Amino acid sequence: MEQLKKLLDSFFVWVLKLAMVLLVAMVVLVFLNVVLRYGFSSGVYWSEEISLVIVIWFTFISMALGVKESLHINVDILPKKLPKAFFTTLECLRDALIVLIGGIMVFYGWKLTLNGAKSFLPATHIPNSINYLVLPVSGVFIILYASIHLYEDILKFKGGNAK
Amino acid sequence: MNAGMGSFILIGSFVFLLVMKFPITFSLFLSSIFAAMFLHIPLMSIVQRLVSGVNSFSLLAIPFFILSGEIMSQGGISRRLVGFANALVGRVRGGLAQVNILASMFFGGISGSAVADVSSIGAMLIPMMVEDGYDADFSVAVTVTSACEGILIPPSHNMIIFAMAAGGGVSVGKLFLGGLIPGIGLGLLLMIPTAIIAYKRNYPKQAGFGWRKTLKLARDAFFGLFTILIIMGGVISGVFTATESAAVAVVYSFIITFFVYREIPVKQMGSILRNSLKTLAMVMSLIAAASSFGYLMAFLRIPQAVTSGLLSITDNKILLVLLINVMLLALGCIMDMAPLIIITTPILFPVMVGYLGMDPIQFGIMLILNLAIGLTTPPVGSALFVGCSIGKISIEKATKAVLPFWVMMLVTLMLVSFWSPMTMFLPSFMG
Repeated sequence: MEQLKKLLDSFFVWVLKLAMVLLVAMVVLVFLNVVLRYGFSSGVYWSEEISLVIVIWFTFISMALGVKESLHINVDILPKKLPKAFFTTLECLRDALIVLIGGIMVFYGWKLTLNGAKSFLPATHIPNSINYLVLPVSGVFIILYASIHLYEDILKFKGGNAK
Repeated sequence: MNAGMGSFILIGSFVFLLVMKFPITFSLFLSSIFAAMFLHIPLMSIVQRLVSGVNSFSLLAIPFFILSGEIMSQGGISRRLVGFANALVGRVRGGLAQVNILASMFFGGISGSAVADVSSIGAMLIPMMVEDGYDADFSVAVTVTSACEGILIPPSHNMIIFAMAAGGGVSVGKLFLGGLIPGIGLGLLLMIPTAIIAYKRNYPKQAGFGWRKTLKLARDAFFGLFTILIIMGGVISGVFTATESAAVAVVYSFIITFFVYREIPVKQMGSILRNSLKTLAMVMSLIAAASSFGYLMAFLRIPQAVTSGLLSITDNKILLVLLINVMLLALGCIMDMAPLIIITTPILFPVMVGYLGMDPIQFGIMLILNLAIGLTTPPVGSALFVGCSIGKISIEKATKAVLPFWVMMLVTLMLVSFWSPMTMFLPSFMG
């Protein structure tokens, strides 16, 4: 399991680097357009369209990052005195449901990607698929990371019972 | 009947998942999936909503503002803002506490996050205050409540979230202007109980600086504070949009941090980007998921149902505004700000703006201030939690110390809710 996790991490590092590059690229694109508008009274006609593609990719990569590092916030109002096993069960259910959500993203995201191949973005004429392709990509990482969490939480369950 | 059952499934499963500690983002998405299955809406269109929810140019301002705030914080801006604030108000009784409030006001012009304020200004000032003989609970209380100024003082990414959730018809520039007076006003009001407590407990004063040193401190801080002038100047004059101003702010903060302040190496950009990515992971996913949820709420006409429900309780304007304030404060106690803005805005907008005729700007500031107060309250208050862990005191102890400051926050809230010039004076100058 540890090896699998390491292998997955080594893939995901590149996806994260991509997200950082995308973040910088968004800034540069928007900034450049301002400079061009006032400095040279011109502009990049595809700037806005590409920025929008980037923000979509960025969002869904970061969603997978959120699953990997458990960054997605939750509400904590259950009484703390409830038995530990109850909370561990909740954690296992949470992981399983996130795997399901990843599955929905992969299945319908892929369908949307195929559908999108028939239509094109107005300025750049890139197929619309580009907007949806990130859904299955992110979905696969969400499934894998949530499965690893699920495995770890089930182990915790056993460990808790042994004590 | 079908719509009633659909609404019950949507809201019921959402609340159930939330209580069972399921992440808010995925609770929004999963409850939308459940409701869509019941209503025979193709799941593909729910998934498509995820994408179209973030397919918006004005949304780009959120990553930009968070990135520029992160660059500035890691580049040592807080030390300079505290230094400048110290030169201005340090010499009064309880000087460091007033410095804390003023520095948060400055910090708010750079970052719109209360938690970032507590963890940078607070991490510096709370230990300093305790060492100088201030009570730890008082120091935490001042830090945590003054951190909320930053959410109202532009730039504030929460206002962009509000503008999005309100359906895109609200000007981010006007929201920014609308938050300025309430933000500064909150700071000034917080200074009153601070001064009273400082005299009562005879807290120390800070030594004064010569004018030469003061001037140098002012210059140092000015480079950072210029960010807010770029943003406000650009947006008000129409030179650029809010999104463009945010991109300019990133480039500006990059130049100031790495070429003027030069406290950290450019190499640190890696960790700055990674930190921003972590904050954004939560916010951006939430916006995506909320858009499928919002689509179903609109489909089921839930906002209309809530409107008529509220109006059946009372149609007195003052009572309704008070009622909604109480509801928002209660929700703010158990949930974080961004998700609440996304969920409550489309529900309450029709009552407040459509029926009561409140200006969208005033409503936005009122909503955000309500939820900001929630950041300082138990059981779930992220600013309070960070403050307590820095000051090493219990939540209970801090909560008692925060009480006099809550009074001032509520006074500000009432002014924002019932006295429209407080929010509308500055935006009225914008076309």
